[in-house]
Amino acid sequence: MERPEPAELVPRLMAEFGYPRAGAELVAQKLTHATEIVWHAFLSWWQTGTLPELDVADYSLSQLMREHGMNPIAALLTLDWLAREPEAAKRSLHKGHDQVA
Amino acid sequence: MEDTTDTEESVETADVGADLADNAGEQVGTDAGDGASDFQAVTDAQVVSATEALGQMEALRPEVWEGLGVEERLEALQGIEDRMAEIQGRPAVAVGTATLEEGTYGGYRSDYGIVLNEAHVASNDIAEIVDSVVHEGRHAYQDYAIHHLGFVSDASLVESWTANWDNPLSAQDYGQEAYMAQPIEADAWAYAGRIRQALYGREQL
Repeated sequence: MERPEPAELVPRLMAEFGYPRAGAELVAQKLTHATEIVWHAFLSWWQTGTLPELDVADYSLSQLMREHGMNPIAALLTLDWLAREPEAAKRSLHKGHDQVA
Repeated sequence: MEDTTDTEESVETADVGADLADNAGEQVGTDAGDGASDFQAVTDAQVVSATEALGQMEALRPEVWEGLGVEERLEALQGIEDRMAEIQGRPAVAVGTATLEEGTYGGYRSDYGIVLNEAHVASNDIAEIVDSVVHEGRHAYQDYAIHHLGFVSDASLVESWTANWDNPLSAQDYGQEAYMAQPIEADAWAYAGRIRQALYGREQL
């Protein structure tokens, strides 16, 4: 399937997954420009609702969701970073994340 | 936030630092010149001062840290924050611990201060822990700059921090890369990484 324009994903990202418009536009832009392996995993989940097994650079989709509390979209985008810049992404994941409010 | 005792103490700590904050604008400078380069020079000077100040803390030596109990560790971490606040010219905030999700090493809240994952503090990786306290303290600095215009000379940078503070990109919703790249996190990661590298010689992100 040819990749859609990012704007085509935005309404569902907002309605179904709760992203604000700017956030949905950012996520849609990243997803539609993701590496092939991540794009196909996303497309499968987007169309069927079933998350495929996907491992990149020693991290799996389910591991990112379980250990880092990521939703499926965040986990897919992180796998995309792992595919493009594995060392930088792994160092960052090893450290983890914080919460600011 | 499970440790409510620490929450109450944080207010007292912040009040103690109020006088210090009153002089902060003078230290950083608010001239209308090149704000970005002024800010960079101030940041560089802070990193040098922090490396010297934290390097003198015996508790932060790996062989000493390994032998410290929980209370002694918390005291040392508060000592880091107190020194960093003085160097940065802002009020100090409290440092406490809480049980946080795996993958969350800590956080900063305007109404509380710095919270670290208690599992993180229990580890012997002192370089990582110092990095975390300095990182979260940098968020306290950003927070102070947002609410005290002119405290940081680079107005456009503060504008970006303000916009980001109101619309943060969590790793849980946007992924690790977007989380790392947003202005408040990019600044805090770079700042703490420089000090960590200077103190412990480990690779920074």
